Amino acid sequence: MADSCLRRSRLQSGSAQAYHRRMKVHLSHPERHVEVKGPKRVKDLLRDLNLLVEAHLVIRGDELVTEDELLRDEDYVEIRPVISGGSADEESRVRGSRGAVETSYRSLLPRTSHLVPRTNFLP
Amino acid sequence: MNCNKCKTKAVIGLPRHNAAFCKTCFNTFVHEQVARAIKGERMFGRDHRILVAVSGGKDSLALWDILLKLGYKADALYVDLGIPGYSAKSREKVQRFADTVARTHEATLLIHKVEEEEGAGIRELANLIHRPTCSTCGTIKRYQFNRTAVEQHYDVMATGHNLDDEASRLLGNVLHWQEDYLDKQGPSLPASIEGFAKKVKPLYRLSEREVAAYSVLNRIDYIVDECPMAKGSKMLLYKEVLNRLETESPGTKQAFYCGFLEKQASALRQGSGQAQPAPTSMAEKDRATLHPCATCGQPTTAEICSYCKMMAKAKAGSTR
Repeated sequence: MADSCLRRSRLQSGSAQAYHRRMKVHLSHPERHVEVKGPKRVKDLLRDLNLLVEAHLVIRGDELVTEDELLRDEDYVEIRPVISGGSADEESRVRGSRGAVETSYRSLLPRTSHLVPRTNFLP
Repeated sequence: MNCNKCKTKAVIGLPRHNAAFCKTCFNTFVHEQVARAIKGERMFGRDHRILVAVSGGKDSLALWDILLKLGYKADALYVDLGIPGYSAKSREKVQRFADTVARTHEATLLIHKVEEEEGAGIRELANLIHRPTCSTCGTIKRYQFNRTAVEQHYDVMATGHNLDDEASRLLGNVLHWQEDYLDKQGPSLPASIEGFAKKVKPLYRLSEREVAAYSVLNRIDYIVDECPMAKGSKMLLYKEVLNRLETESPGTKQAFYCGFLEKQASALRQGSGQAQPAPTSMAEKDRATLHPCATCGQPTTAEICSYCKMMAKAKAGSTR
């Protein structure tokens, strides 16, 4: 409903360019940009990209926004991962941990599809 | 979503506290959590000199910022590991924070360059001694931070470990029943013997997301890129698993780690009147097992400490 209203108002303004406009979303690890059709709530955007709220911050322009905030096509949004680190130190040595050796855990790859069931999180 | 305290527009929701805060109230919340950690774990007082271990990441820079704003005397040490394309960037972030924020509080930044003292960058050293880069990095950082804190007469060394770091480490140790390492999972480790600096983790009550939000809201310019050496580490997997659990059941990470700390504390309090002997405290264990390294004098369980052994091996490898 809100989507069709927004589309109509843009058509009325006569701007064909605005009609095709989509919000630009900046993602990290690896760094990339995607375009997403708005309007969309923050929590829905994260869910569509299969990203966890607990592991990300959403920044619109230069302001932090909450999960219920509505994002629009004209917005520039950064989804910033909050997880860092990964050292296997002496005090927490994990048997079998290989530190810098790259593994093939699906959880560490960029997520772009919804095909992975959310509950099936183990590799 | 509105702020629970002042009812203005919120900038962050905290499901585990069933709360949401605006920027001002969130900053107050963060400062209160850190102050509670410092007081509750008797980490340090107003007159103590603190050495913060900084890396250029959100946690360590946020910690330095919070301690300075709370009025503590906190200097920082940055260890330049010589990782191509990463160390220069992270050092620049630390230097900028030191110049713009720390200087106004009369705090100093100390820098240790691995390539200058150890003779090679971290990647080259790890190759020479045939050990994973993260483990080599851990040994060098622990050694250099402790050495600097002791030699420069700091009362305590503070690291930016947050709730997620501690909970994921605990999960790893419990999954593999690494009981010996559980002793060192506390947020405040005493200076058990001469040569060991006291180590504290004032951010242990804050989640990784909360620390990142504090950094963003307070315009702390930190390095967002992950360390290229940490790719694929088990700790990242454990963090991801815990975040899935946290999403389904907010408060899981806090219940897991803080529950462990409570059980550890009650096990130390009890025991004397029990059938089983009382668990020995970490300080007592350290005093019984540690003595000065024959080469450098820093505490070790062996004749020569792991850092000196590592350096000897690297030197032998490079002359071959």
